[in-house]
Amino acid sequence: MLTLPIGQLIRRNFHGERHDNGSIPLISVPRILSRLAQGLLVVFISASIAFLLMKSVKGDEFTHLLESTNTSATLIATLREESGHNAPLLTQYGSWLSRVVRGDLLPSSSHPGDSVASLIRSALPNTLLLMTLALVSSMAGGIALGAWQGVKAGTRFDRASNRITLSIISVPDFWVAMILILLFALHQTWFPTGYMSSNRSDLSTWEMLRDRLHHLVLPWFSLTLINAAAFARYQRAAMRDVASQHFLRTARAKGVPESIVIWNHALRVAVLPLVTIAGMFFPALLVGTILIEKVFSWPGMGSLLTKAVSSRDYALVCGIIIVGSAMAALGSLLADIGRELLDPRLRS
Amino acid sequence: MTSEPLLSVNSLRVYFNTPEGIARAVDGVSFTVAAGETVGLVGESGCGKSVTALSLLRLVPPPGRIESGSSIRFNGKDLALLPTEELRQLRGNRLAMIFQEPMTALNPVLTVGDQVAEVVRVHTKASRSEAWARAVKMLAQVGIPDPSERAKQYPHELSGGMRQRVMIAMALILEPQLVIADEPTTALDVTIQAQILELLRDMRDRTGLALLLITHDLGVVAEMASRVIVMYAGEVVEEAPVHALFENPSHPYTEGLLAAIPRLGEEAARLKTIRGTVPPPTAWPSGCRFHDRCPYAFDRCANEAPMLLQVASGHRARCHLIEEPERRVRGVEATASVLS
Amino acid sequence: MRRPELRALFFRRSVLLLWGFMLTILVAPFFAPHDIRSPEQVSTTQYQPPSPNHVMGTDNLDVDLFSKVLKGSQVSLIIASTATAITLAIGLAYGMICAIAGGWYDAVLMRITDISFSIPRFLILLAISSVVTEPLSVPQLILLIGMTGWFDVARITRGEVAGLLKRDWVLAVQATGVGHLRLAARHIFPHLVPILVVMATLGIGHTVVLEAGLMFLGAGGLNGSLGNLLQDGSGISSMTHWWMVFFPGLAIVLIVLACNALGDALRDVFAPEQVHAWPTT
Repeated sequence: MLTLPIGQLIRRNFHGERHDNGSIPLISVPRILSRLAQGLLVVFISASIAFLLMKSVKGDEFTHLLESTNTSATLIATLREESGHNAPLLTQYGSWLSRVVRGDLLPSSSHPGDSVASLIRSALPNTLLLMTLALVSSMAGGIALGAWQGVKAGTRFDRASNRITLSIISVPDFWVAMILILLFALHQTWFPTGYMSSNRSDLSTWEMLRDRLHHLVLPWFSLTLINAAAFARYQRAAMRDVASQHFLRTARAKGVPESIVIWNHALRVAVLPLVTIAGMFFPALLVGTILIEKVFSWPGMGSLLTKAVSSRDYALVCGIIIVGSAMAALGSLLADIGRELLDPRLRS
Repeated sequence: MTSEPLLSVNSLRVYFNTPEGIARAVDGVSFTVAAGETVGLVGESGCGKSVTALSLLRLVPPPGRIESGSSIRFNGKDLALLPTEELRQLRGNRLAMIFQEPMTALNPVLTVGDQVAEVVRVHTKASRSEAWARAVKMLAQVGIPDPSERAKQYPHELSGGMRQRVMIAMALILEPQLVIADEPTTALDVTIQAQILELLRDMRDRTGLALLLITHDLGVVAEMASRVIVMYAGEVVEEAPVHALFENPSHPYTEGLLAAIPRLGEEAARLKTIRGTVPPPTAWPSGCRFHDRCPYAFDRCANEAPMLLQVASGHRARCHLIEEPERRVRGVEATASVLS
Repeated sequence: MRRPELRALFFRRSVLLLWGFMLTILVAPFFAPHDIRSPEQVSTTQYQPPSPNHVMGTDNLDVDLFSKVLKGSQVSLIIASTATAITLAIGLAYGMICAIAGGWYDAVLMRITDISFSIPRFLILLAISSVVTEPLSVPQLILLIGMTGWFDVARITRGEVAGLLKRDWVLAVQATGVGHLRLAARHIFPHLVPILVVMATLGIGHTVVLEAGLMFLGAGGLNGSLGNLLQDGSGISSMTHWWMVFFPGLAIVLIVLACNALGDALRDVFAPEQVHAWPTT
C-alpha cells in the first residue's frame, strides 16, 4: 500500500533549493557502513518492539494457546520454561534477542506443529517473487514514462499524463486488486481469482509454468500500476531538473544526436535519485504486497500475517515484523549501494 | 580561394518570449570572422554576447528563438536555416564551442576520457579503443599530465584549470575551422587564466583555426585578438582592429570600458565607472540605447538611433558623434564621476 | 487572498471537487436517504444491486450502502485529519527544536528520526492491534497513527528551518536579542505555513489510505470507516455483490484524489517549478 512518506513528495525546498534526500552524514565513517549499522539498528529496534508487545499481552503470550488450540498444558509449561518465563525481564530480553539472531523463533500457535521460522521460510520466497517482479516492472515503466514526460515538458502529453499519474497514485492498490478480480476473474474468467497455482499434479512442466504465470498476472499488475505511476512522477521531476543542466548543452555542441543526449547524458544523471527513492519505496512496496496477498490469497507473508493477526498468534506476528524490518532495511541498503555504484561523485 | 569569410553573421536577431514581454537579447547583429582570424567579442553581462555565441550553433535555450531574417553563413551554408541533422554534423566537427563554467559544462557521471572520445565516435567511424586513444593523445596536447590515467577520472576529480583543458580538448580534437570560446577564463584563477590563454594561442597557431573569443575582459582581448567587436544592449556599437580600438575608441561605451580599467602607477581616488546600469532586454531605451549612460549625450541621441558609421578603414562605431564630432563635450552630470 | 495565484487556484477543478466532497460529507448524515441505524427489514431483501431507491445498493442486512459510504467517509476523514494534525504538531515541534538547537543535538535527534522512519509503520501498527485485547477504538487509532507518522514531517521541517536560519534576516532578528521561543513562533513559523499546508493536504490523503489498509486487515474495530466497508466487501466471491467493493473504494479514491490534487496545486502556487522545455533543435 502506498503510504509514501510525505517528504518524498515534497522535493522542492520552498525557498528554491533542493531537499537533501540523504541523511545527515556521520563524520569520517564510510556511507555504506553507516547505512549497514543503521539497518541493523532498525531490525534490532523492531525486535525489541516485538518483544515488548509480546510481553504486554495480558497473561502471557501462551495463554491464548490454551483457549484456541488443543495444545496440552504440559506443552505450554515447556514453552514457558523454554522462553525463560520466570526469569527477570532483562534476561528474557537477552534470550529473545539471541533467539532472533539464531532464527529460532517460537512455535506458532495458529499452525500447531510448525515453528514460526519454518512458516516464514516457506512463505517468504512467494512474497519476494511478487515484490521483485513488481519492483522491476514498476521502475522500468515509471522511468520510461517519467523520462518521456520530461522530454516533452510543457506539452499537452506531459500535462495530461501528469494528471493521470496523479489519479493513479490516489487509488489504494488493494482496491485495484479487488476491482481487477471482479472484472477479469469473475465477470470475465480470463484469470484465476487467487492463489499461486492450481495445485494440480497432472500438468507437464511447461503447463505448470504457464499456470504459474497465469496466476501471477493480476497480483503483479495491481502492484505495478500504482508504483509505476509513483516512479513516473519522480522521474518526471528529475528529468525536469536535468533539462536545464549545462552539460547537456555541451553534448549538443559536440554534435551528439539528441537521442543519445537523452539516453546517455540526461537519463544517466536523472535516474540517480530514483535509485535512492527505490530504497525508500521498499517498506511501502512490502506493505502493498501484503495487502495484495490477502486479496489474492497468495501464499506469502501477507496471508500469513493476516491469519496471525486474526488468530492472535503473537509469535508469528512478531516474527513477521522482524523479517519485514529486515527486508526494508536490506532494500534501503541495496539502494544505497546501487547509488554509490552509479554515481561517481559519491565514491570519493 | 573564396572571398567569402568563414563566418558571416547578418542581422542576427534572437528574441525571448518571457512573461515580462519580448526580450530582444540580440537585436540586429552583424559581423564576420575570416579563416584563421581571432576576433574578440566584448561587452558587459546582459549585452547579448553569450546569446550571440549560442545562436551560432543554434543552442539558444527555449523560450529563445532565432528570428527569421537572421542569417548565419558558415562555409557558404546558412546555419540558421540548416536542417537539424546537417547542423549536428557540423557541431563539434567544423564548428566547436568552449563554455564558461567547466564544472557544470561537463557530465559528472562520465569519465573525462569518454567525453572527449565521444566527439570522435559521434563524427567518425572510429572504434571505441581508437577514439579513446585519440582522446588520450588530445589530453596530452592540451597539457594534462599523465593523460592515460587522467582520462579515466571524473570531472569532480580534476581542478578547474584541468577541466577547462578538457573542454578545449573536446572542442579541438577534430580540428574545427572555427572555435567559439565563451568566457573561457572567467571562472578560473588568474594564474590559470594565463595558462589557458597560452594553450589557446598554441592550438590556434598549430591548427590555423579561427577563434571567436567572447569576454568582458579587455586585457584578454588585447592579448589574443586581431579584431574586436564591442556589443551593447543587443547591438554592435563598435568594431575595429585591436590596436585601433585601444588607441582610438570611437564609441563612448568603449571609452568608458577602457577608462574603467585601473592602471598601475596612476593616481586616482576613485575608480572610473560608467554611470547607470545595463537596461533590461525587454525595454531597450529609445533612440541610441546608450544615451542614458553616455557622458556626451545630446538631443539627437534620445530620439534617433544611430547607424554604424565608418571611422577609419575597418573601424566603425554606432554613434552620432562621428557625424558631429564637435558635440563631443561632456555633460554636467557626467563630470561628477570622472576625476579631472 | 494575498496572491493572485491563490485566487486562481480556487477555481481549479480539484479544489471544487474537494470542497464539494467535504460539504457533502459534512451534511450527509442529515440527508442520508435511509437511516443506517435501523435496517428497513431484517434479511428478507439482502444485497440489492444499485437502483433508484438505493443508489449504491444495500448490504447483507439490507442497509443502504450509500448512507453507509457517506457515514464511512465522515469517519475516515475525521480519523485522517485528526491523526494528520497530531503528526504535523509533533513533527513541527521536533523539527524546529532540532534545527534551532543545532550541532550535536540536531545530529543525534535526526538520527533517531531517520531510524524510526525506517521501521515499517504499517507492520508495527498491525502488531499493536493484534496484541490488544479489544479492537482498537477510533481515538486509539487516531493516536497510534498520529504518533507514528511524524518522522518525515520532522525531517522536512528541520531542513526548512535550518535553511531559514542561515539567512541574514534571521541573524538580524537574533541580534535584537529575542529568545528562541519568540524567534520560532513569530519569525520562523510564518514561513513554514505553506509547506505545512501542503503536508497537511497530502497527509490526509495518505492517512485515509493507511487507515483503510489497516481496517482491511482487521486491525481496528467496527467503526464504520471506509476501510471497514471494504473489509466487509472483501468476502465476495462473485459478481453479484460488486457494489460492496466498488463504492467504498471509489469514495476513498475521490477523497485521496481531491487531497492530492489540492496538495499538488498548492505546491505549485507556493513553490512553482520553472519549466525548462526540452530544446527541439
